[in-house]
Amino acid sequence: MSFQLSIFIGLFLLCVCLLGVLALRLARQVRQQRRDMDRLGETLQHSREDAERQKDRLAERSDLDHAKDEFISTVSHELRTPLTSIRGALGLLSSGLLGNVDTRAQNLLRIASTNTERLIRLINDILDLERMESGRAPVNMRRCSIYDLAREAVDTMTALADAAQIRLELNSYAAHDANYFDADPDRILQVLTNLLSNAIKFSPANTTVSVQIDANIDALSVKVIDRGRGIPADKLESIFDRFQQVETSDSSKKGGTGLGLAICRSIMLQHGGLIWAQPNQGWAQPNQNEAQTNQSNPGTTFCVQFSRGARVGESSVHTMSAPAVERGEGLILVCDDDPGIRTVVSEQLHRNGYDVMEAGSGEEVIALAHEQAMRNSPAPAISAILLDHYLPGLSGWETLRQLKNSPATAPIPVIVLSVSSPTERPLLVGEAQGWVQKPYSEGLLLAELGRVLKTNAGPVKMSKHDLRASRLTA
Amino acid sequence: MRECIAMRRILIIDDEEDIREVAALSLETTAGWEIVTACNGADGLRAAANSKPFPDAILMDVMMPDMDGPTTFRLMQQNPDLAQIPVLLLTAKVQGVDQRRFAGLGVSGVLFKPFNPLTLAAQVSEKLGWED
Repeated sequence: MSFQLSIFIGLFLLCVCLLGVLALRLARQVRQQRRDMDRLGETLQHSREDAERQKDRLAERSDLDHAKDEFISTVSHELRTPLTSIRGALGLLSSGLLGNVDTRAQNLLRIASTNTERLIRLINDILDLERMESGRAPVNMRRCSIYDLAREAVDTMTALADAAQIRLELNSYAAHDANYFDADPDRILQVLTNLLSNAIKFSPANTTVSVQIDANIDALSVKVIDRGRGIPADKLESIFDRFQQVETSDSSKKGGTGLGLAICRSIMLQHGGLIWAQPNQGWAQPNQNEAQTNQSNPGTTFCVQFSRGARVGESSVHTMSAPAVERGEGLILVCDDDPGIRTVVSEQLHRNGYDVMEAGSGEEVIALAHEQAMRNSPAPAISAILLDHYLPGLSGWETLRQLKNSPATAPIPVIVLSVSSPTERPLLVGEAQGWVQKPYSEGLLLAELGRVLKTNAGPVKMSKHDLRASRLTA
Repeated sequence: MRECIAMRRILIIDDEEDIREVAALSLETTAGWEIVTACNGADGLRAAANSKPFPDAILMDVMMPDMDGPTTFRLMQQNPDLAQIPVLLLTAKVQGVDQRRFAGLGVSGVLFKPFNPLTLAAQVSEKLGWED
């Protein structure tokens, strides 16, 4: 009996012990959960504060945009007012309506008139570009025919071409129905006339400038092909930047404003399209003699391409739009010190087919880029780096410089994300392959990334020699 | 010089003396129109009311001290005699926002500075549907 009792007591004590252990564990778990809850609460609080800060920043930016608008409007008005008197006076004098002036004076009047016209064009172009790049230029979308627009552009430019003894020709390889797409016809006409005017300006006399249209179910393209002296490979991209010419004297000699191609690019981005320049490829000259006389002129093809699925006119940072460009591939390294922005950009890139790697600082970018460059396949090499301009610690500019100074990372194209426009940062522009001004839309970012990847022909593979060199310098 | 078919009388209201002079000379020499000028909104209202016959059209600047173009236009609309006269705004404000604001005013048209002195008269005629 006492044995049974002691067993019973033993079992009872064991149960008590087990219960005690269980109770202790439970208590610990509860404590742990409470701590987790506290941490979650803190995180939530942080997210709320982040969201508030983000909202403040957006409001600040909208105030800034408004102030910028006001400033541009005022400057434009103040410049136009004196120009009105100058243009009026010169125009009336040189017209001869008020009596004849002698030949030398007439020549001086012509010089003054021509340059006044140029100044007016420049002010108009600056204003145009500013409005488009800030996303405040209205886009009036309509169904239009790319053939009709190209025809109109060719007709408009015929007088200029005749004066320069250039022949314009228009060829279409598109089926009639494939010509139709949605766009702002005035803007597209502006792109085509700008490209034609460029081609005419930089072509030697007695050559042909050819416009070729192609279209299929996914996309439409127009090529403007000239027989000019061609554009050096390292300038094929930069000519789309403001005030960039192949030779510094080009603009003044040819009467351009240096903004035509930048405007074309802005319009194409607004339409979710692409624009690029390339040397002529296998272009059959229709006239044998012409080809011979201009052997030394490779010429340039300017291509514009519209994707039928593109969404248009989106330029707000918080618009999550459908992709405006074809799906991408490759590994993109995204660097921004703001984890929120990193997440948004990564999400956008993921959705469009890219693999993404994130970095929060310039130092991290350099380390990751080297690590990836030196890894043997099948690990993917970095196709491009998206680099925020303002970074704490190592600045965006310093990071870019270090990336470009190291043989291992120099070939990786870098796209700078910045609140500044490229013209404000000429040094950075020289080193970077792409530029996206904040606030940007998803379409704009993807279009620029697509353009940079296209012109850089994919990720760059390192040779063993390069790798060794990079290890030494890294 | 264009032959004058119909004698038109135009009132130009602009605070910039040089622009008044150039615009007046341009319209006189290219179209042979008779020009009256005024240097601000109030002066313009007086000139329009006192001009006999009334001007056939008014060419008016937008940004003027004291009383701007749109305000002058609104006051003109309250006077039954002056409300009949077509008004064209001549402005250096070319941005989309400004253009939409002008369109809402009910003016007969907007012309932009800097204008071409040789085609200004033709632009005015076109906006007002004048045949000559």
